[in-house]
Amino acid sequence: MLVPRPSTQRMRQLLKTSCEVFQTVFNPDSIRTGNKILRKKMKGPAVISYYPIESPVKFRHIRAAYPMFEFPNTADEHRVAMNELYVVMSC
Amino acid sequence: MVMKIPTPGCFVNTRIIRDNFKRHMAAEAEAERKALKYIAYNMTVPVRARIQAQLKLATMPNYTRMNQPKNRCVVSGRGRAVLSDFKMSRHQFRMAAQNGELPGVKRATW
Repeated sequence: MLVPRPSTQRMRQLLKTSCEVFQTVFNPDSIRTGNKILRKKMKGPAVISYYPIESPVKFRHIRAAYPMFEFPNTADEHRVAMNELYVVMSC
Repeated sequence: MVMKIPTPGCFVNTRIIRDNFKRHMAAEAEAERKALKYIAYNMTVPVRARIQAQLKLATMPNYTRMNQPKNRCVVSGRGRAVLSDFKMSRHQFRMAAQNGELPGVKRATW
């Protein structure tokens, strides 16, 4: 049995109800709503976290907090030793 | 009260400070920029509002733009040839890899 195709208006109503039922967006004329911009994730926190945060606790703080323990500062000791060498070599 | 941007814990030089500043500013303005762009692109919004949004977007300072931050080398501050997986420039990467400081990285042979 041949049934005439329902009118455009009727089809539109059907689409609208269908969208309400399935909770999809109703935009049959493809009007640019700018939703594609809102859809994208924000990348602010990822961009900020590129450089590591400076540690609030430094080597000198640990040294000062525990004076009974010996924390050798190898880099500084090397620097001092080299400076002394320069002094010796220059004399 | 001006919010102080934290100093990076890695190698610090002028360029890295500038880049860090841009990152913080871009992140701060991200929501606003997104909203303005949405208004400008939304055809259901009156034309005047769209134009105003577009103008506002154009007049926002360059350091608020998300394309301004550049991935710099965290050890040397170099802006070019930076591998994003390691955040290091090619030479620093090579030195660290040969010292064994990068886990799982070895010379490519196949």
